[in-house]
This record gives sequence, structure tokens and C-alpha cells, in this order.
Amino acid sequence: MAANRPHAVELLDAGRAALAGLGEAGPKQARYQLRLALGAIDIVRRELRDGAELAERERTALATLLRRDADTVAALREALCAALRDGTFQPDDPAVLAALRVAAESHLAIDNPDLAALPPRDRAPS
Amino acid sequence: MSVDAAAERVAEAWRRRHGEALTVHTAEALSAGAASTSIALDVEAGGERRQLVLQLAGAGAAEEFPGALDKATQARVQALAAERGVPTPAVLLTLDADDGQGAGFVTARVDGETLGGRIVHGSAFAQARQHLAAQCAGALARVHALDPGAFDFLPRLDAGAQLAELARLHRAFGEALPAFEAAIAWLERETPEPQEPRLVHGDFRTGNFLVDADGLSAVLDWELAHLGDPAEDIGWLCMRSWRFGRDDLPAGGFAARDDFLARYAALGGARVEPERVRYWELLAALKWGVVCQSFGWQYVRGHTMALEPAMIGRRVAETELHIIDLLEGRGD
Repeated sequence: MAANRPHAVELLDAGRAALAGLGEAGPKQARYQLRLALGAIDIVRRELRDGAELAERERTALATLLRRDADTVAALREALCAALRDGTFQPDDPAVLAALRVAAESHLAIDNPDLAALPPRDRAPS
Repeated sequence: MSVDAAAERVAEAWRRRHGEALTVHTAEALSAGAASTSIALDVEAGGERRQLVLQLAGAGAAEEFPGALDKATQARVQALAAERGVPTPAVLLTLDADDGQGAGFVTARVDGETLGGRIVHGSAFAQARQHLAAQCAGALARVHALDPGAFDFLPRLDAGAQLAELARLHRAFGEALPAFEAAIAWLERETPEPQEPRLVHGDFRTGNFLVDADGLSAVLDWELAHLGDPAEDIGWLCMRSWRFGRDDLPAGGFAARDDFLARYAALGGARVEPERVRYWELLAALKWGVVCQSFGWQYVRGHTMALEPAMIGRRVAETELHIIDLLEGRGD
């Protein structure tokens, strides 16, 4: 499971509870809860469809950076955090940033697919 | 407590404090956030119709924003800032324990929009956007120029102190996020020399101040005020989550970075190095990220069953991207 918390099942539970409560909410509150619940369904839907592939993409990027294979993304994330804390890796090392970018893009593909990275500052004029 | 009951207590407190009757005509909940509840009151006092806002401490289930002030201290900061020429509503009444309800305070109600998307995109605010750079730079310059001695009851929070607290909060969740650790490592390595502390608003961003057709109408929400580095307020304003899509205008989605800094200096602010703003912008992305994570964990831990905090938890991903973009020096 590569997405951040809450997990898909937790989001689905929260979304279901929000939908179940719509009848008692005022119209303004109901509209807002409905919009949130639809957003939660979209996230869970993308995670069901692409989550495994995106998790593997993150896993491969982290495993390559760390020169270490592990069966879970969580274990690799822990290892990279430890390496950043003890100075084994510098936070502005391009290889670190490239792996972090793969991971962040995998998360965004589920949580917010419309958000794109900013362009590099010294980009050529388009 | 119901809205009507809260309004009744305010009327009693007003009579005790000001020696005159206050009649509440209408009371309407504006928002009921995790940390606070706002109620709009239309009242009559001293023969005058007045529009007020009552802000009450939240029900308390939610963990607070790191460094959040209690309502009485928040009211004290706002009152002092208003007296000293900052465009923020005057504080008319601070509730205390004898008023029979939770902590809170009453201010004048100022009209305006807070929804960031409308402010930076809406045609109704086209003219307002022409003025926002100068008005916001001027308001921040005014806040930062105030005598910090008048605010010595506030915590002093330089970059190092804030970073240590954010690292502690993040790591306590036990959810390893390498982008957050990279931000922490970089911010620890590059911590700027602390400078003479000034009053810092702490949450000055598009969506958190009021804008009308002519621009900035009021600075709100002083609950993160502290003494620290003025560049923090500019970095927070520039953080990408508050640009509402206008990445060509990094300062709040309404001004270019250089333009904003030049106006700030011209209106009485210090000259701020862009690198110092970028430092605080990265700290802002980390701070918002940790806050998003803490909302998600309120749900994970069962402190709330509400969908909104659970969904905010998934906004961690956008802050991971902001952190990486800033570490790579991307963007305007």
C-alpha cells in the first residue's frame, strides 16, 4: 500500500458515514459533505485501479536509490528516512530528489492527479 | 452550546462589561471548525445597530495547530494590533470564566470574501487584485514594525524552535515520509541566524484575510501570532497551497515575488533576502504537511469520525510535491 494515511478502506468508511448523515444535514452542509464524499470515492477508485502499479513504481525507485530490496514500500520509506536523518544521504542530492519525486508523483496520481510539478526556474523560454 | 444560547451569554457579558443592554436580533453560525466556532451577531447596543462576530474555542476533539494561542491571548494580540493601526477588527469583548461559557471574544464584523479561489480568479475581485500587493505588503510591514515589547507575552518561535516541534509532531505519528525528512534535514542544515524578534502574524495567507471590491478589508485569525522572523510571514504567504493555481504570482496568487518584496520594503518593512523567504516557504510547506498529516491521523486514531479531516490527510501528497520542488529550486 503506497498511498499515505488514511488508507483507502478508512477513507471509504469516512465517506460512507458522511453519505449516511446527509439526510440530517442542512442543505449547505449536505452539499459540502456530498462534494467531499464524491472526492473520497474518486481517490479510492484511482487507488483500486492504479494503486498496485504506482506502489511498485515507488518501491523500485526507493530500492534503486538505497541499493536494497525490500518487500514493502513502508520498509523502504523507513530506511530512506533513517538515511536522511543520519546524514548518509543529503536532502538536496539529485538522486534522492529524483526518487522522492517518483514517490510523490505516485501519491498524487491517486490523491490529486491535476496537480503538476512546477517548471525548473532556469527553463528555456517557451 | 447552541447559537442562541451563546448569543444570550454574550448579551449578559456585554451588560456586565459595558453597563448597557445589548439586544441580539439575529445569530447565525458562520463556520464550525475543529479549533474554533464563529457566530455572526446582528445586535442593538447603545441605541445603535451593530454587526459583530463571536469567536468561540472549538469543542476540543481536534488537536490544535502547533503553536495555537488560546482565545484570550489571541484577542489580546488582535486588540493591540488594531489599536496600533493594523487593519484588523477591533476587539469589543473578551469572555472570561465568569461569563459561563468557553473562551472566546467578540469583534466588529467586517464585510469581505475569504475564499481564496474567488479572490485570485473571480471577476468581482479584478480591481481588488490590483491593490492587494500594496495593501498586504503594507499590512505585514505595519505588523512587523510594531514594538515587540508590547507583545512580550507571546512565545518566541525562531526557525530552530519551530522545526524541532514540527519534527517531533511528525515523527510521533510513526508514518515515515521521506519527503518530510528531507525537508527537516535541509532546514536544519540551512537554519538562518536568528535576528531581532518582531511580531509575526503566523497565518497571513490568501483565504485567511478578508477582501472586498477594493482589496484587503481586514486581517484575521491571530491564533498563530508569535515573536520571530518577519520573513516567516512572507514565506507562508508565498507557499504554493495558498496560490489557488496562480503559480505565476507566488505571493498569495496575486503578486510576483520581487514586486511584493519591493513594496514591503517601500512601505516600511526591512529588506528581506529572497533566499530567506524561500527558507520559510519550505518550512511552511513542511508545516502545512504536518498539519494535513495530523488531520488524517485524527481520523486514523478514532478521535473524529468526520470525512473532512480524513480527506485533508490525503493532502499530504501535495505538500510532498511542494517540498521537492522547493528543494530543487523550481518555480518563480
